[in-house]
Amino acid sequence: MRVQFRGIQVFRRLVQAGTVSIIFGLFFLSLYAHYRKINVTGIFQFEISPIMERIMPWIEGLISGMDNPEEFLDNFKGSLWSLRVAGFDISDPLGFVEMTFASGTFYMPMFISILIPVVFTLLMGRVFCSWLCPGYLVFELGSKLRKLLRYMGLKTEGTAYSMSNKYIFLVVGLFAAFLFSIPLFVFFYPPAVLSRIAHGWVFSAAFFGGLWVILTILLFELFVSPRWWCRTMCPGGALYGLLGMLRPVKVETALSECTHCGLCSGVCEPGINPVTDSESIECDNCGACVTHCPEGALYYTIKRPKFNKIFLRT
Amino acid sequence: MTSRRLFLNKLLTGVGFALPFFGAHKLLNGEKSGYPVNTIQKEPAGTRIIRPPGAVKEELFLAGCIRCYRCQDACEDGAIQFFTESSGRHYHTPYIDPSIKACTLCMKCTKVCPTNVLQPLEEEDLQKVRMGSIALYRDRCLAHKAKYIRNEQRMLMNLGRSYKETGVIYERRGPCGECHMFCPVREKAITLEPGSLLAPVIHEKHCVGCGLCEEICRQVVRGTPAIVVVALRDRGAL
Repeated sequence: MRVQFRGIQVFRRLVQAGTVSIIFGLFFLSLYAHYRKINVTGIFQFEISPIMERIMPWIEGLISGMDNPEEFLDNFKGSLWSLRVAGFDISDPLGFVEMTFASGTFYMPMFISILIPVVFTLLMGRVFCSWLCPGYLVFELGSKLRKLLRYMGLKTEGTAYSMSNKYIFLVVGLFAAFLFSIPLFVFFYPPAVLSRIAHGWVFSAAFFGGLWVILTILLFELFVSPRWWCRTMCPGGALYGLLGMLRPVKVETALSECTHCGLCSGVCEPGINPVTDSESIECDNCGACVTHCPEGALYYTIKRPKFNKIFLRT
Repeated sequence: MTSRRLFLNKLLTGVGFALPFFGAHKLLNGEKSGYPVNTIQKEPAGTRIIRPPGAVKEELFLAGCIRCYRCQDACEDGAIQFFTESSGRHYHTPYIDPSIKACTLCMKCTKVCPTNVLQPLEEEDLQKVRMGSIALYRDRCLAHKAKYIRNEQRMLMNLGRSYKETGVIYERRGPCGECHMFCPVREKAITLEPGSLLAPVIHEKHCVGCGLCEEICRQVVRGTPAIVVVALRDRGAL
């Protein structure tokens, strides 16, 4: 089976934009639920933010036909770290693992809530990273900015660290969480941090809460090491990689059509060579190579996992 | 030279004349009334930790909370707030500050908590919630003040003196009983003394620590509330 969709990058950007708008949309729905609770008189006695003023008619139009709007509003809450959509609880697997290690308790409802992302990852690999993570989107834009800076003649370092650092970081962080009984990744895991920042913006609680984490990573990536966090540090990416080690959905190359031009390894987001390493643990199925191959030699396929190809040979 | 000396002379004279008046003011108001001066200060802001209802004990709470902010999404009363980075390991964990907004025990936050550090409670178990305890400062309570002043006046008049000698006659006071009205476990945690002044009496072992009494007391007293929630868990104990 050969699935080759050249517009897949546009599709991925649409999915990323959808994720960001879902995050903000869930926060605005929660905020609207608060307003609805307060607004028993029908007249707002306080100032509403200008964005909320614009969005409120949409939400009111959305829930106007429902016979139980409170239940609807209760079913759409949370952020990317842990959320409830249409009655389904979904949590981040890293959050569950952290909480289990830090508190030493196994909580069954949270385990059930991570099943949906885990099943997706088992089948498709690290698609959370490349298709949904807002941190990945921010750092991708950072790499575009880096290219612009280089084009303008600014000298930037191109250090590449070992990609197995992130697995070590994951193990060390979980051990530290177990030792100090406090989850540590929650303070700088980009999806959680960005969700909290967006929460602060919508609820006008804080503007800079945790933004320094993202800015530090961004500056390091701009001037020292390209895509440093996602490639070599992210503990969530490491966990998703380990889960999606034996994925059936993979990128494959038709070697008869390949001209070995090397374009695909230039555009590859995780920084591997898609021709040789597309079945490895590092590939996140983003599809940049599928789009950019001038010969159309790369495509998605479903294959049985091969154990000898999982780890990178560097 | 002479002008400076003159200026200093005038200044010292002025201070010398003013001092007795300041002192007299204190003597007249403070000493004459036998009103007990409160020595218990309000604890500095930010040292008490009042977690949302149903919270497990502090050690387990810090370990289990994944800082997802869902409790704030669910809290439609807007009572739940979060610690900032200046609070160390409490960063991003929820707390309730009754001096701003108190908890109404709707228990919506416990239903959305993904990690069970806020444990859901049944409707009839709400009295078992222990978010904090309560303390009453009688010198700030309007009803207790009124009662005290009345007793003092009665004593003075029995001694054949004028009731105006109390000195605290112009203080804000009167029958109130708002804390009793707002208490979710009223007649258990807060009862009223017999009489028409509605003076509250607190029973700490029944208090759920929601802080509704503190919120309304701040409004009524117009200043430092007389009834405050005291944290059962503080920052140092772990």
